[in-house]
Parts: sequence; structure tokens; C-alpha cells
Amino acid sequence: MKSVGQFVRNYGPLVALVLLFIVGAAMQPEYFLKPENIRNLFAQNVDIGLLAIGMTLVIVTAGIDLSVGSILVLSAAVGLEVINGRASGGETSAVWVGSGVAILTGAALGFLNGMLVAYGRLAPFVVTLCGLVAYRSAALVVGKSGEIRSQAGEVFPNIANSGIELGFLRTATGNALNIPFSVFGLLIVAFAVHFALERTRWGRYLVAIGSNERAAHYAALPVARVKTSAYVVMGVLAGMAGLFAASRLNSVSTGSLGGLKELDAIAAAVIGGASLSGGKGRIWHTLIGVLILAIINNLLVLQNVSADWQGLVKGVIILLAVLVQRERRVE
Amino acid sequence: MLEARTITRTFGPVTALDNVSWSLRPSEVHGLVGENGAGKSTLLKILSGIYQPSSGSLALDGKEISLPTPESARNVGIAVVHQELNLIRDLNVSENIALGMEPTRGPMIDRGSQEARARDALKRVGSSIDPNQPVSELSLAQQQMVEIARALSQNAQFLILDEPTAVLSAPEVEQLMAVVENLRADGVGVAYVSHHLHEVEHLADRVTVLRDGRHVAEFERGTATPSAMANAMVGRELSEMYPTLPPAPTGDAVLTAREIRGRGLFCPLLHVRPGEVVGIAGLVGSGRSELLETLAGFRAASGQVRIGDRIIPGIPSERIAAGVALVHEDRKGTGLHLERPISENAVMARWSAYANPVIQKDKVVECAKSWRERLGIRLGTVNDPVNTLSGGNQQKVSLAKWLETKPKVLLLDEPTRGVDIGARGEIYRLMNELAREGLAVIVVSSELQELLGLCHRIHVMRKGEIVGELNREEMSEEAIMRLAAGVEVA
Repeated sequence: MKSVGQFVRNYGPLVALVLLFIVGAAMQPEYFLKPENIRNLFAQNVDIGLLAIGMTLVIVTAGIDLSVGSILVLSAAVGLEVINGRASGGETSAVWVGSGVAILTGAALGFLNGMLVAYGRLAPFVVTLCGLVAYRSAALVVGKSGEIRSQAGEVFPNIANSGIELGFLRTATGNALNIPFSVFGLLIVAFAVHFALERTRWGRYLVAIGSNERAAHYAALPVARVKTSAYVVMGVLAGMAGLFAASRLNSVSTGSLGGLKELDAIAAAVIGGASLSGGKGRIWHTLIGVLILAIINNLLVLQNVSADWQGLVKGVIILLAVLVQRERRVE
Repeated sequence: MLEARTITRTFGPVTALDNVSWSLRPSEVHGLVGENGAGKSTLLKILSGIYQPSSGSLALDGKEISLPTPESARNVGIAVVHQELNLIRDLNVSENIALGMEPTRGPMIDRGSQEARARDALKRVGSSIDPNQPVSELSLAQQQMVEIARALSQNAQFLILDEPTAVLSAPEVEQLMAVVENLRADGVGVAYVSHHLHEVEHLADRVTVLRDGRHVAEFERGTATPSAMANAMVGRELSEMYPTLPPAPTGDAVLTAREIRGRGLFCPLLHVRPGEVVGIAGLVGSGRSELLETLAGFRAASGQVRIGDRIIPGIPSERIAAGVALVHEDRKGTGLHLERPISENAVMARWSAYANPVIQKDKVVECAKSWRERLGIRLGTVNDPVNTLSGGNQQKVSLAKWLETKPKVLLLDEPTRGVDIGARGEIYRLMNELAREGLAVIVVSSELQELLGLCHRIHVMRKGEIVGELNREEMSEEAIMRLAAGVEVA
């Protein structure tokens, strides 16, 4: 009953991840398996993880969002400007307000994308391509085409960097391992969205719309509203990602932050088996995709492979992933 | 009672429904028949809230209602099973049945009661499909049952079935008819749209016939015989539609296919002579189109295809060069470039003759004009996009495109699908003329009357195999259906 093809589609990404992990452990046992290296695999990819989760939702509806890197930077820029404007009146409250503004900015931009796609009946590729250039440009305007430095240096970096010390895990120098809150944030978001996609009406409607939009319309589903909501969630997650990325550096460089991140997010979803023609995609598969990309990067760095080569390797890996998971054509 | 009162619906210049009144009572099966393009689908889409009438109104139990959305139709108890099945392949059976009305517990879908509900509904249609099975694994017949179950689980008082048996085998048809009869006994009003007039005769309490968007006849049970319905559908005696067949040619075949084996396809021997029209009959999914595609080289298969005295390898360009031309069933998908001008489409299969290497626009236009003359294509200018034409004229462009390759063998897949009655007659006449000029024609059609009227011989396919051949004296609807459905001859 369960064919090889089905097994590959269900567990292929997981098997690939385990294999990569073993390869990594064999190649660089003393560095790769260090607790702080594993921790960094997660901590350094929180932003891509958040984007990829949102991207999976959008892709499941047979859409695409190329603007997420730009939403990320614009949300972060706007959020940080708000924080800087209020920092003199108390950093903590400024950071709270600014964080809220950043996420709302992401939501608003996602809403705009979604409305244009769902109600304006424009191709997602085109709408979000415009977003990609426009939102980046807006971020440059906000940041006066340069870097925005945080003036809440006491509090703001805590969002990404502070965390919980796990006593039972020790770093090489013997200190307790610190797991940043952002990693927990990613995992909580992943769990919640996974649950929403698999177990709620909203999630099933996303799948139904992406699988066969006309049938979904005939079944009287609120197609346009549900589609829009996918882009809104995407925007919220891009805003969160922007917040974490800005907090890690305690600044936003409006020219580069979030650049090309949309491609990593799409790649992670695709490696995880999401189909760009819609209807297929699971959050935990996408997270595995994020980790696969992260480990490849990590290994290339540990092996001192020049950065010039990394894109080439990534491209080949993604192609392989798609080839293996390609559905046999039904005759 | 559900009523459509003097409904008219226009699409631009085309009037799809013209002042049609129609009703459906509880505990009634109301047959709705008509040729392609007669307006059946338009009426159904108005009843299901997908289209709005241009004028006229709908009423339920005497009260006027409007159905601006599919949801509003569902809310008043109307459910539709569309011809092109509308299940979501990436969801499972119970998710599909509950789609849009999922039982929830808090924010979550209540999977337990969703499954129970699906099980109930499936039981009502006498089906033992597992509610947890993905829809993509189901056969078409099973998908049909799931659609009907979905309609029932929504407590539909009125069920509209659009061509429900088009994809079913004979035993599956029996099962479906039993389900329909049970529903009628339960008080459900069923609108039954079908090309299969025998089914309609058997099931329907009343039959409405539409032709060219107009209500042309209504029959009560007993008077609705297949021949009476067919004559009303066509509006003239059927025999007048078909030109006189030239005598069956004798002599050597121009195309001979031997021992063709492809995926799910087996054709021991098929040949056609110059001037001969050979029909291929069979149920939907019996491999008819696949056979034509194999002959044209688009599908890999073992075996031998001989044109004249040469064996031609199974590569489309080789087969075309040897004189095989396939006019696809699906003009939108595989046949034509709808957005492109008529003239470009006419030379699409033979650009080489019109570009050396720069395209000679005048020659292209000249070519299209000569085909317009020859085939009687009604068009504005040959530079208009093909999608400005009616179905019948699009089909003629399709024909022109392939006749332009100077074929010896013309393969026609459902040449009159989506073509109105008038243009149909012209296409029949054209096929007849081409055969008289010595072209060999192989034609696939779901309309048995068409095959009976046009062909010297008919091959019948079942489950990918040619299971019989009928000559002019042997052929009849019954003989074809017996072979196609695999029922033993009594």
C-alpha cells in the first residue's frame, strides 16, 4: 500500500537531515558536535525559520512571496526608529512598543500583498516582486540609506541574545549553554502554525484552495479571505524575523538586512517537499529544510570552503531534493 | 419546489439561456438533456449560485430567492455534483465531505465526528470507501460517490447531478441509479443531466429538453423514449445530420498498426485505407485518446506502425512527416494557441514552409485565408486571436492546422465536442469530403450516433484494449455498448 514514493515524500527530508548530520559528525567530530555549534545552527537561522514557516503557508495556497526579505528589513527599520524615538523615556517600554510596531508593520505589508493577490486577482509573483523592490526602497528611506543604530543598547539586544542557561549542557569552556529566547520563539511559532495548518479549518482551507481553487470556491469556502490571511501571517512572521535579526546586531543596515532571505525561505519549503503548484507543504518538513540548509552552510564553513562555492552547492542540493520528491506523473 | 422562472443568461453577444423556465419537485427525478452547448451547464450553474441570471428569477416553494454565491445555494438546500469532479486531491475523504462545514471543538477540527459524519453519508450511498483515504487514491467512480455523499451530508433537499455516469463502468452506473432511486424515495429532488438517454428514460419522472439555450420539449415518464428525446435535442431527424457515406474502399491500407503495447494500452491490429473512416468507440478512460496519441507518436509504445510501405518510428516529428495528423480533443490545452492569431495557428504545425528563416507574413495570411474558404471558417480577420471564435470555428482552425501538414491519415479526437449543432453538420460534411478525396480518417467519439453516422468500421475499446470490430452491417448502439461495457452477449 505505502509505496516508495510515499515514503520518500513523508520521510525523505528527515532521512536527508539525519544523513547530513552523520556526515557532519564524521567530517568534523570535534567542532560539528559541540553543543554551541548545534545551538548556533538554530540560533543563527531563527529568521529564516520564521520566514520559511510563513512561506510554507503561502506556497500551500499555490502562491509565493518574494517580498519577505524586504518586509523583514522595513519592519525592523520602522520598529527600531520607534524604539530610538522613545528610548530616552525608558528603554524597556520603548522596546515593547517598537517591537509591536515592527510586527504590525509586517502584518500591514502582508495584508497589502494578500489583498492585491486575493481581491485584486494579480499574480502573487508579480505583486510580491513589486513588494520586494518597493519595501526595500522604503526601508532605505526610513534609514536614510544607511545603518540605523539602536539607542536602546541595554535592552534591545536581549530579544535575540538572552536566553535560558541549560545547566546539563556545557560549552567547551565549561560554562552552561545559553539557549536564546528567539530559538524558543521559533519552536513555539512552528508548533502553533503546524497545528493550525493540520488541525484547524483555516489550515485545511489553505490546502483546499491551493489544491484546487475552483473546487474550493464551489464548496463555498471564503477563498479570498483565507488567501489574504496567509500573506498576513507571512507578514507577521517576517516582522518577527526582522525584530530578531535587528536585535542580534543591535542595528539595522537598511541596504543589506534580509537581502535574498526570500530565496532561502522558498528553498527550505521546497526541500521540505512543498509544491509550488500548491496543496502540499508541512511545517515540520519545512523546518527540516531550514536545518538542512543550515547544516550545509555550517559544514562548508567548517571545511573552509570559500563562500564563492556555497551558492553552487546549495543550488545542486535543492535541485536534488526536488528531483527525489518529484511526483511520478499520473498517466 | 425549486423553480427557475423565465431565465435568460447572456455572455457578451452569446445567449446561453433564452427565457427558460424549469422546476424540480421533492421526490422527483427530473431529467435534463440537450446537446453540448444547449445551455444545461449554464442552467445548473445558475441554480448553484455560480452564475447570475441576466433576467428572470429563481423561486423556492413559491418564494422568490436569489443565489449570489455557492454558499447561498447550499444554505437553501441545493447541492451540485459537477461533471468535472470538484474534490480536493490533497485532502482525505472525510475532509472533503465536511469541506466548508467542518465540525469543530474549540479552534480544532473535531476529527472524530468529521469521520463519523463521512461514514454516515457514505453509507447512505452504499459505499464502503475508507473516510481516511486520500482522495488522490480513489477511482473516478469512488470520487463520484464521495461527491454525492458530500451533498447528502449537507442535508441537500435538491441534488443536481451533472453527467454523473460519464466516467462510470456499467456496474457502477447500476449502483448510481440505485442510489438516485433511494434518494427519491427519501424525498430528495434530483436533477439528472445526462447524455445517456437510456438512463434518463429509466430514471426520470419528467424530462426537459434544451436546444440552443431554449426549452424545446418536456416529456412525462412513459413518453420520454430515447428517440423522442434525441429528435427534440437535435431538432430534426438525426439521419439528416450525416452525409451519405461513400462505399467502403478496398485495397491496401495506408496505416497499419500491429501489436501496439503501451502503458495500459494494447492494440493487436488496426488499419485504415485511403478514403476510409474508422471509428473508435469506448467509455471514457478506455484508452481511446491514448491510442490516437500513440499512433501520432506522442506516447511510448512497442509494436509497429507502418505508413504506406515504411515503418515509422514512434517520434511525433517522424509520424507527422510521414503523414499522420492528430487533431486533439482539448483545443484549449493541447490543440490551439488561443491567444495567438488564427493565421499563426493555421501554420503552427508547418512553420518550416513559411519561414526561411524570416517569417513570411503574407504567405501565412494567404494560407489562413485559403483555409477559411475551404473550411468555411466564420471569422473577422485572420489576424484575430483564435479565442474570439466559437467552438465550431475553433475546431475548424484546428483542422486547418493539421490539414496544412498534408496528412495521409487524419486522427480526430472528439471532433464535435463543444461544437454547436450547425457547425457539427459542417464538420461531418467536411470529414465526408476529405474521405472522398482519399484521406484516411480515424475518429474517436463518445457520441455513438455520430460514429454510426460517419464510419465504415468501428473498433471498440475497453480498459485500454481493442476488444472488437464492427462493420457497417453489425454496428448499432447496443452492439457498441455491449463490447464497451464488457457485458456478455446473451
